Amino acid sequence: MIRKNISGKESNKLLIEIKNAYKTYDNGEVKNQVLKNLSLQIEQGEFIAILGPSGSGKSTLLNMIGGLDQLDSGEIIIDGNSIQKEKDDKLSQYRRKKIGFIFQAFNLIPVLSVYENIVMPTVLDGSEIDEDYIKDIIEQIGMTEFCNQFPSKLSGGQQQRVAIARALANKPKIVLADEPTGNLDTKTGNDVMKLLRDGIKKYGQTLILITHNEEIAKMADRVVCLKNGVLENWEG
Amino acid sequence: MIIRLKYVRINVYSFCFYITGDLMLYKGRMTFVKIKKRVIVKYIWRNQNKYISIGIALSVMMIFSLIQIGESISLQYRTMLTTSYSYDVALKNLSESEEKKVVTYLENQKDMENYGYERDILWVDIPKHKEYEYSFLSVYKEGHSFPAWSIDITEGKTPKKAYEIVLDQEVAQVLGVSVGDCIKLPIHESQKLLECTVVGMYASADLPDEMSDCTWILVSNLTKDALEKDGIKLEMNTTAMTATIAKGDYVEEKVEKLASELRTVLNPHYDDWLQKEVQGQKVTGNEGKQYEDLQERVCVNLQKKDIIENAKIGHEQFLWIAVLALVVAISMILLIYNNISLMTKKRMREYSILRCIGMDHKYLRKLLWIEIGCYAGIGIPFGIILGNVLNAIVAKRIISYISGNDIGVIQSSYSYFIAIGISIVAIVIANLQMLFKIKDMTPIEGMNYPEGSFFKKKVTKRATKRKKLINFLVKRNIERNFGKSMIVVVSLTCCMTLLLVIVYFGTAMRNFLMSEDCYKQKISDFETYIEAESVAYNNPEAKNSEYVYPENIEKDVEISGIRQCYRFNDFSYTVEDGKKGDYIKWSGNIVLFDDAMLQKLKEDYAELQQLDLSKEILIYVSLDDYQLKNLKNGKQAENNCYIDKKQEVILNIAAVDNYEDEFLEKIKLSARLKGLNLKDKKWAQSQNSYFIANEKLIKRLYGTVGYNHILFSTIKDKNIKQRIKDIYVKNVNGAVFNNYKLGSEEDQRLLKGVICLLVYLVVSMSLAGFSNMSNTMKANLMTRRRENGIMRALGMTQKMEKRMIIKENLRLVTYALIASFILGFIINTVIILVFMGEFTFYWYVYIVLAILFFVMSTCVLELTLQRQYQHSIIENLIRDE
Repeated sequence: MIRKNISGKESNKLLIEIKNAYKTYDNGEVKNQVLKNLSLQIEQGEFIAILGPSGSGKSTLLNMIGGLDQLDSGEIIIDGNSIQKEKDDKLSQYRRKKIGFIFQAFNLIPVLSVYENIVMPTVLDGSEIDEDYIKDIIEQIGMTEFCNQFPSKLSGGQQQRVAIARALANKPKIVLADEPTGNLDTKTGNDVMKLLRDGIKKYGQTLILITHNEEIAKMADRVVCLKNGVLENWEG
Repeated sequence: MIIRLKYVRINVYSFCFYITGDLMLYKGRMTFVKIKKRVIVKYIWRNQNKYISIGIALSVMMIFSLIQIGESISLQYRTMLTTSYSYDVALKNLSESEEKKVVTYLENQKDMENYGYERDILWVDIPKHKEYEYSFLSVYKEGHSFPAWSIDITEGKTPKKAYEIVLDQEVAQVLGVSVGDCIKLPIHESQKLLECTVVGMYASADLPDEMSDCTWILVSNLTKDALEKDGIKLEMNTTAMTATIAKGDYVEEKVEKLASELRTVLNPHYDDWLQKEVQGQKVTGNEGKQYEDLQERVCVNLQKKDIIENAKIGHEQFLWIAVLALVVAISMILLIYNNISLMTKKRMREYSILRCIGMDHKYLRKLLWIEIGCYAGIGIPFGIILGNVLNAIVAKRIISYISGNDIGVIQSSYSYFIAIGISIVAIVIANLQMLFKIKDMTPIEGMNYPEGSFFKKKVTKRATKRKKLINFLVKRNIERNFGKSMIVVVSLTCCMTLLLVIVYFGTAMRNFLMSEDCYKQKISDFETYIEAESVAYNNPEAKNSEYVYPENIEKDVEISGIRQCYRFNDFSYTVEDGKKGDYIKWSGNIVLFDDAMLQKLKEDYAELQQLDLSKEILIYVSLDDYQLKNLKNGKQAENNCYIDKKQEVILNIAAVDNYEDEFLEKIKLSARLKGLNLKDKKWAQSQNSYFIANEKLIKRLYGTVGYNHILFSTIKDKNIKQRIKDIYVKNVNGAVFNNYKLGSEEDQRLLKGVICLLVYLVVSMSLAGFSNMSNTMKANLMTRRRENGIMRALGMTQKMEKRMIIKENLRLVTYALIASFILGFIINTVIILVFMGEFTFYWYVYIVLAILFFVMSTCVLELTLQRQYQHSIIENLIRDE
């Protein structure tokens, strides 16, 4: 396990605490235990990369932190509050305010323009759009010219950049990135990662990144490895 | 592979892997076609697209069923037209010399279709003749041409002597007889036999319609005389000669002119008499009798006139029914179209994946055609079976209710072809359109944005406010697939328009056909009803022999079992200048006169001046119970009312004899007889004003009292109605006997039939409309699962998401509602005017239906959402279907 602070500052504030997490998926025929007594602590401003083979439970862990799914048992405490057994409305609010998602398949809304996609979480939250901040992000991702374009007209790299901007738009404390470079070539992947890294560095956000790419993982403050639902030391 | 394909859904890569992996496993033996077949089978199995087949089946069922119902009802008209006598003018009781005159006249007419003699009839049974059980024996008059019945004697000669006959050559063949043979024909319903000699044969190819439904045997006049001598009486036909104007449009004036000219041929004075009548000078005495006699002898075929008029009205009605059927057909086609396009759209991403991994468009086209073929192959036959079952159970009853006979449902082959054809065309168009869309979309675009993301428009407004976000997304979602949205709107519009027209028509019909209460009253009050003919009066002094006078009524006492007998009068008279005046109404106790009549009476009857109005009861009222009450209460009446004296009289009536109530009761009864709904105040809104007088006054004026409406309430006795009928029809010339119960039952049957038809249409239309809506919504939810998942992941609450989906669909419903109201209003106005002649605006139908439609739509949407909300956000994010 490698530990370093990307911002270069000492940070002790615990932002995410996962305690004895269990999750099993039951498809009727086979029961698949994805998370087994998993415990993890992540500090504010930390950049943590999660490595692991397919089906090891990485995405499940990310979804649990993002409040997209619920644990069978155990607890997830975000910023001192447990999100376990929260009602749907509260979880939606939590996602709007504290979480920024970046998906492997970009997952932009096709009926919304680039700008609209980026400001979507802020609009959903009902808070005032910080135009300077949004402009800044758009400039940073180099999409100023494409603000009024629709996602289908963009390349994969461009779409992922928009997704990053969207994840940062509502100034969330936590950015969850599920293989953000998985659909991109190495160069574009690196560009995207640089953007993401610079973004969270600039705005002091916590990044949890899922990746298969060890080179990318090495960019993180800490790398953990998930195998069969259990955290293991990474010997990269 | 089948087991492996189970995981195809998981993601693009695994799908590619399994397909390519299988290709490798099959090695050299593998062909793409094999995969394709398996893929198709798997698709059908996995997607469980039963509803597509069901949708096709329902649509085919509706189209098929409607075609057959329409065809069966139109057959009623066709049957009526073909079975009726087609002649225009009939002449009866003609002497030999008159016949010659008529024939000479008709021979010189250019536009005559045909003319000829009607016949004396004797029914004879023809053994072995399979097609017809019996035949006519007709008197053939040699020497007179018979153009109406242009018989070609193909063999032998015409009948001249007694017991010589000429047979139809086909019948002769069946009987195995030839010219010169003697045959014995049994006389129908008689023990006697007709022994005769066959002297000739004729060909019956060109017989007129009314003659072609039976076989004719020709005999001479001598045979008729000989038969009568033997005590066998021929059934005399009431008409002796007929004339038919050249075929084409029926022109009433032309027929009237022919009748008038034929009368003039028979009596040159006819024109003079007619002239006098037109000038208002009544032809009386011997001349008058001859005139009336001539009119009776040469008369227009009213049956044909009525049928043609009915057919014309029927044609207009059918035109509008056809418009409705067209809307049903469009609605059903859209249902098929929607089903197929939704099925395809749902799988747009998978098709794109298949294209990515190497399936070319040709293969994809084949795949879709085969799959659609499978659904159509199941749906269409199933729909035809359902349609047949539906027709056998529902439509047959509807038709028998409406037509009153068991003609049933016509099973014509082209109804099958049309229903199948329409469905196939709809399926092909829907599939072709989807294929074009798939072709237009690049595989990558289809994979990432299967629902379509293409916006050619420029962004003018941005979604930057939470409050407006939902409306914004709704607008964008509708716009992005405008074609599909419009199909849903058109489909819903069709259904809603139909619902509106049907419910509106039903509402209007309810008043038209009387309420249930009115039926009950009508049946419970009087079962039997005698109606003497009511004619226009020129002179109140003139006695009408067709009225029922006390001397006829006295016979009532002979009939035991009458619970109640009620008589009243209702006739019109003509005031000066030949204009038809207001109606005089009177009953056994009350007679109503209007102003003009009163004036006339005063002039004619000096003694009326001396009437003590308060005792003789002569009152003037406007026929409106509201006004009557006003008068009674001493209030100012609204119009046309004599306030001064009459008020006093009414008060007097009310106080002394309680006539007011009776008057109202009887007027109500009169209204019921006319089939008006008592709940509807219209029955009392007469344009006329009336005077009421009692029987005593009538006797003083006319010397006697006559009635033209007599109603009987009887005890339960099978024979009593027949006894009443016998007495009245015998004693009163022109009396018409009505069995109220049967009449009411017939009315009710019609009402039931119409209700059945309306309910059938309402249910099927609602099903089609709402299933379309539900399907669209399901498909939207399916195709936008990922999008909605993203929204949820970004923080949209489930409530917001639901609101967005419902708002989007309700917006489509609103568009449909507005369009259907406009369309429905136009159709309703025209259809009600065509069917009922008068349009009434029932605004509440629109409001109730609008509310109902919204409530139903929301329920359908809510139910669909409930069923669809079984997946978590993650599932929505990673899965497409």
